[in-house]
Amino acid sequence: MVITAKGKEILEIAEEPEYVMLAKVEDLKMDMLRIVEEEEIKKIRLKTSDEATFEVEPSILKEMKRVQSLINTEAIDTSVAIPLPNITSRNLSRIIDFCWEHQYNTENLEEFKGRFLKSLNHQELKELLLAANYLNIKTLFDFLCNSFTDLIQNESPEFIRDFFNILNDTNSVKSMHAPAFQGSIDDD
Amino acid sequence: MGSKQEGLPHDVVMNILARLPVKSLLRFKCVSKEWLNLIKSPFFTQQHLLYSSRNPFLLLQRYHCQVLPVPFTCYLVGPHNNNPQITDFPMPFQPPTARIRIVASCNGLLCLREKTKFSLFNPATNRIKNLPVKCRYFGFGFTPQSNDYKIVGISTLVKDVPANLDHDRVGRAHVYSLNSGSSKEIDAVKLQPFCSFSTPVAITGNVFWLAKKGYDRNSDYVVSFDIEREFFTLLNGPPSPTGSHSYSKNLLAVCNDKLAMFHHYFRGIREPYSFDLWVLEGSDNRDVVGECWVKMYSVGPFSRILYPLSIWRDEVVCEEAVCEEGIRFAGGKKVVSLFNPFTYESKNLLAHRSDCLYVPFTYAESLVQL
Repeated sequence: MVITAKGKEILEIAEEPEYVMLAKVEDLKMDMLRIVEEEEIKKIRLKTSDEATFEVEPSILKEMKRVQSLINTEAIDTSVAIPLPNITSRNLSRIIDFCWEHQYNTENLEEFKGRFLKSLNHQELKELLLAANYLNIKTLFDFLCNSFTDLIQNESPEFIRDFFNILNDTNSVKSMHAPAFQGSIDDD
Repeated sequence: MGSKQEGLPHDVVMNILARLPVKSLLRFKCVSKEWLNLIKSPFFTQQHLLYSSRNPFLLLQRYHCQVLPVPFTCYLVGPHNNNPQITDFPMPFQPPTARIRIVASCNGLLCLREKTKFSLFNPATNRIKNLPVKCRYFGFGFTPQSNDYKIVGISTLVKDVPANLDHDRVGRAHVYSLNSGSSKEIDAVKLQPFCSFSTPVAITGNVFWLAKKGYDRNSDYVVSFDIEREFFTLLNGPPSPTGSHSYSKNLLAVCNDKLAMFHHYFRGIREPYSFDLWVLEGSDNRDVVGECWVKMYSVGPFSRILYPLSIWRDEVVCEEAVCEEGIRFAGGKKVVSLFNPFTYESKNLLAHRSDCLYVPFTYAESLVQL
């Protein structure tokens, strides 16, 4: 029996004996179940550095360009959680929060962003920026970069060195003007 | 060396720095050698400009139309247009003479003109460079192919001849390149029918003017100059609105990085004003023969006098005359406003006496070196 259109299928079911019809209903149920399962599978599981597993839905996952490319190009077995060895569960939950709000909160996104930023100290901000960079989440990365510029733009070079853990190597520029004095200090 | 543990990677740091104002970057040059080299590099200049030009300011130059020249003053509007902040924009240098004016703005560089003399000025880095350019009409723009800024000067064929329409005809052109630091004459035969050019409008890679022929004062021709390849092209303008108009004026503008033209008209002295905006589509596609002008919108008629001046972030920078009933052209107050062509909302920016002139530019600060 070849079934081409839905209307025809119903027509033919009605004409068939009860046991065949029951079997067909079972088939239909199985099909529906499979569809639901497929959707479940689309939810990808991510495993953080502290061994926590997150189920992430496709719309959020879409923002994480790195995970997307892992799935697409590396043909990863999506039934196994994808390890993210340099992201903590705390940061991943923040990231998922941000992506969720960014997608579904259209009314008071700015308010959320303000709250989000307030809950982070400098160190956490840096960790999150690295995580956003690693996962390649453009919206979060841009937001954090802009937050960084707001934080540092009016600060002094000393503050910047401290903030970014940068060693002051500009003394050697001065040493060209005062070589005798600078040499003995630098050699230590 | 440079960064200790926990430091952010180089590319992430660059992404943060590229969003900073120039003032901060100049201060951060002494943070480390790595930062100094990064901030000085042409690549970073480009990256920074990319971010800076996403939120450009509206620069309003004000000067008095008086017999005795007074130095101009400047205001910056922006960076957001939903709640425009207006700040003074003091020129860090003292203009050598009161006759100097800003005539163009491109990638953070302002082109200054004093009669026939030109100079380039970067207000953010406070650098100025006098150019060996002398001409009557000019154009200033950027070409990304050779990463160069050029000034094209257009002059009349015959010099020092008493005013005569025929002798006013242009026909010579010189191009000055900032990279090479020199200028050379280029072929300008195509310009010979024209005798006057409007202020230029620059879009990456091209400069455009409206040009008029000697005895044909009412029709405008669009002239384009390819900055990279250094040649002129004549383009067809958009179709004129139907019907007779006692007054109509064309004005070039930039709309989403495309050439645009305002057509501003009214039918009679007591009649309402209207204006249309046309955009030149596909001008970047050289395979397309002919010009494809698309009408973006047509606004009006207005009972008040509303002159379009330029476009800033989808809104029209307008000059509006505020005057008493019946005295339309009498001296009075004028207002520079931002007009939204879709909602017809208008935000007043600056009010001024009618003997002042405001000239708008789009300005994004940059590290571009002179």
